[in-house]
Amino acid sequence: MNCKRVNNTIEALTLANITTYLEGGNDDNSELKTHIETCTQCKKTLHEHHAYLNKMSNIHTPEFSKNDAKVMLSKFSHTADNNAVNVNIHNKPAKNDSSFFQGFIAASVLALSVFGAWNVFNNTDVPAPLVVQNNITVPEYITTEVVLVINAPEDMFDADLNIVLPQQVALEGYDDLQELNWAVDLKAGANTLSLPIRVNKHHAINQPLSIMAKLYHYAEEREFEIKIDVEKIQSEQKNSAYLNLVPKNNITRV
Amino acid sequence: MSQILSFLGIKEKEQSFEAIMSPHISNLFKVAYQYTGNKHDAEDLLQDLLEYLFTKQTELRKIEKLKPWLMRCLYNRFIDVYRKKKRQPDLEDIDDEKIHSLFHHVDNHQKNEQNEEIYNAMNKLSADQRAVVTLHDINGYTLPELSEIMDTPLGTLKSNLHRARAALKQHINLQPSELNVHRY
Repeated sequence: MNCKRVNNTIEALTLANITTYLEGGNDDNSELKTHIETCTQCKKTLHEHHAYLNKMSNIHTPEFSKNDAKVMLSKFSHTADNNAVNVNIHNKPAKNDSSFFQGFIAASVLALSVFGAWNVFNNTDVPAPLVVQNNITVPEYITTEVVLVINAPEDMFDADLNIVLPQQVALEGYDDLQELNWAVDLKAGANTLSLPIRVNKHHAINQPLSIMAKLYHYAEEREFEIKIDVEKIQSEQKNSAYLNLVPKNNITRV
Repeated sequence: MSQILSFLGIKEKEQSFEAIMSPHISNLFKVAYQYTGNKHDAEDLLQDLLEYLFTKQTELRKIEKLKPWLMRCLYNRFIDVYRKKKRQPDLEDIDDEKIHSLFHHVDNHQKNEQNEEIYNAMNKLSADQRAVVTLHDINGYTLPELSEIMDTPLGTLKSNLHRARAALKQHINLQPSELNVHRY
């Protein structure tokens, strides 16, 4: 039995196992015993692990007094009729039987569209320079408005929406902000959120661009990838472009 | 009995939410305290859990093994709170991976130096590591049980447990000489 295997065995032992072993009450594992008798390092590891488990098992945790428990639970007292509620939890309304995610997966279709005109800041929009500088490149940006339409299967209060923008995309007026968080109360049905964004045309061309969006509600989270096709936007009419939303990942923790 | 009552068309009186939760509240608080490291945050976490469970009463009443299910809910609420705090660095200056400053209150229960040492060391762990140590090393849940509660593969749990223990052993003053060793 080598040291690595012994360490793994020690790691799996419970406090009771080790105590019994150290007090000589367990001769079942003769291989372990033989190794520990001869190996100083493993002997030390065993002692340390025993001391660690002993300390953790003796950790003091205060009791929740019966009175405190009663006070806390009394807020939730109600009659036999489950609907008769006398606790103020309006910010987290009661839900039906189906779990959030069952409903969410079934009904959530996150549609994304782009409204409004996009403008290309070209040289005509830039005031005429006082001095002609041929070697200066005027940055060109596409500005547009992204509208997120979230179809919620039910009221989802206190949800969190997190959006991460790629480097080539900035929120209009907030150039340095790459990650955005909102606490949102979603109502059952369609919920819209408008995002005025600015895309750097020089850096964005021929590059796949994606906006990552995550929706958190209680312990569940849902992640979406919003793909932006700059060339497609440019090729379309100036006041109508559409982006594709692709659900990328679905992380569920019940 | 419930089948007979149902057959006869008599509706069995349902237990109140208070009556269902009452036997478990003390244990839930204990684990909440071990997660958060102080009474104030433990009470907040427990309150948050109860509000959540209150909205899930129909589901709650159908659960056969309530204790592990409640542990699972508490763990999820803890992770949820941790994640929300982590995403609000304006309110709390929190390190990306740690919950160091998330639970910074000191109360009377932590006057004991040994406890303070352990809770301080646990504050340096990630939320998942802290949860696995709390449930396995302090409360005696087995790894297969934790796999159910935390909805995490056994391998990940073992890895988290190993890393957490290694970190704790570094920060906690362990004195092997205190052990009463008779023989090997």
